Amino acid sequence: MALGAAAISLVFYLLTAVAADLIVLHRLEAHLDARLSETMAALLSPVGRRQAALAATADPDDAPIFAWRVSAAGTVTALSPPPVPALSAGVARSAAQQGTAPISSTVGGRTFLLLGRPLGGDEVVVGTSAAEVATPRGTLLAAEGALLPVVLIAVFLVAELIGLRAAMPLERSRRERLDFTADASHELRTPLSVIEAEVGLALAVDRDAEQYRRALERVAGESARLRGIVDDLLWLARADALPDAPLAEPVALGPIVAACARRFDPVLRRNGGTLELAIAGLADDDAATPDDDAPTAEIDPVVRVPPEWIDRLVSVLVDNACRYAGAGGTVEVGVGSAAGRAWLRVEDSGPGISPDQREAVRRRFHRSSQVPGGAGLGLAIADTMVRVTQGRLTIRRSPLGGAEVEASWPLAPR
Amino acid sequence: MRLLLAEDDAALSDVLERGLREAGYVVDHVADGNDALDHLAVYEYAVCVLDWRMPGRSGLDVLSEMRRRRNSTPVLMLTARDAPTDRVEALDVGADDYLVKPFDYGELLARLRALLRRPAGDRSASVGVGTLTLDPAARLVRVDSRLVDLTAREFAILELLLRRAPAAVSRRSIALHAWPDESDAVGSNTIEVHIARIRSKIAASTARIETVRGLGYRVGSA
Repeated sequence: MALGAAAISLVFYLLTAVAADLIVLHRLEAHLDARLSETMAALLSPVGRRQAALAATADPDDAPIFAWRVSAAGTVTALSPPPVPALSAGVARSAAQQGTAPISSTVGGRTFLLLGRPLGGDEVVVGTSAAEVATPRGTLLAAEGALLPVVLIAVFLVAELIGLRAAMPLERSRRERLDFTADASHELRTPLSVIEAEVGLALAVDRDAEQYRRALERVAGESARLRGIVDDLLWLARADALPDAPLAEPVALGPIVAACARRFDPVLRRNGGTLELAIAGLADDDAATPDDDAPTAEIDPVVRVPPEWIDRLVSVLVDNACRYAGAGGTVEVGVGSAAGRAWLRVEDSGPGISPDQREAVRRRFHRSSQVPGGAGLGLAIADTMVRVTQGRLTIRRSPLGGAEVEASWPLAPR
Repeated sequence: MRLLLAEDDAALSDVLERGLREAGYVVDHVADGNDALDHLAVYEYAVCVLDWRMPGRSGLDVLSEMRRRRNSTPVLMLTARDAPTDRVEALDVGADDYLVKPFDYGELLARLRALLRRPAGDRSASVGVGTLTLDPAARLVRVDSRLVDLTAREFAILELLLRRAPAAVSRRSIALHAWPDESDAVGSNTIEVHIARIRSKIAASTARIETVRGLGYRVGSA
């Protein structure tokens, strides 16, 4: 692209240079012609006025104009004060023959412009060095020639720079996509490696049934892990491709959150931990179904978010919280509303997320060094999901000691 | 032979440890790049299996720091990064070999054996002195063509001595490469007991285990 710009500039430059050259040439020649004509006219004027007229045409800044008289016999006499270059009779006659326009000829070894007129039986010739035209023109051409590479290089560089700046956002998004693919590839290959290694090891030598069974159990576990990563990656890829949220009916936040969170209860209990629910609009924590007739202390908040998305969001946040809380830890899930917004909060009693990490954790494949497991996609999905549904995701310190992740949306009218 | 496994994925390091132990290695496992460097500074390893992505320091960083400290332990990089530029970079920084996940379990073991061959300059698969040969892949020892029955630990000690032959091997090295916790062996006379047993088992061969006072043991020809 830069080369094209340079080529076009070259063409324009050459056209301009040629035009300038022609204009300058024309003006220089016209100036000389005028001077020659004036001098000639002064010479041909009546004797009495001749000296005065000649004096009037002489200009100390201009190059000298010489005058000769050639007799019919061929004798050439100089009319100007010496030094005067020698003019041959033959050249003088050619000049006089031309009459109206100057001719170019060699006089005294240099190129001269000569204008000749008959006077009586003789001829009068005036002339001046053609260097008057050649020298300035030469300078102009040299300057144009010197300027040409500079102009071309300048145009080329400017075009390159413009091209680079235009390409930067494209380049950045291309690199982001490559990074995503590289990281995704790594996350998928690891559980695959475990499966292949388990199978390879199991088949390396003859083993007893118990060893085979345990190997197959481990393979099953890794397959489930792999499926989870594939689901997450596909969700993110789809969200990238279709940036707008699907149309959503208003849904009650509480029941969906409660149902999803309760799925993690056995997981937490196995590790000696506890799950606590504080869902606004539900009669009490352990109610399997809300009692519609009982008066509720708080309103069950309603939002415009697809219910499957809410379910996945809660899964992701509670899964993270369980991991951070560790053995014997506590996870709290709460739903409520305040100031026209519905909120969902998941808190854990783990190490928490330091303020300088709170932006970084939302990035895809970001993994906390303190907590093992996970592909680093959970919070990235939560972040994307909340953003796309016009919500806000905030990370704070929880009174439980660990992190509090809050997703909030504007309350939808019931 | 003692091996350092630096891999942060719990499930993968678990299966690798089991497999490598079954193949006769004494395995130290770390899940963090800084821990890997600490271990490399303290222990002598016959080979190191390094993952690229790790918390603390990346495998590439660990490798570069190792080579900067003039640690020439053979390194096999085990990683999901398969772009040619990644391989070139790893090999140039100092890796001796590179395996892309997922990999074949048998191939991993074979490549590790290949790395173990290199320092001795021995290009054949088996190692041996005189009529004594040891096949690391099949885990067999022969005197001429007759099989010799060795325990796993005796095999490990003999393998080390044969690989380093004709150089002498210190008691500490023997302890490191044949015992998970080397302090078990260094403080007692268990190494001497094992050497004595090996000597009697290979007595019919032309190879001899010589005691080098102050240095340790070496294998030479009778």
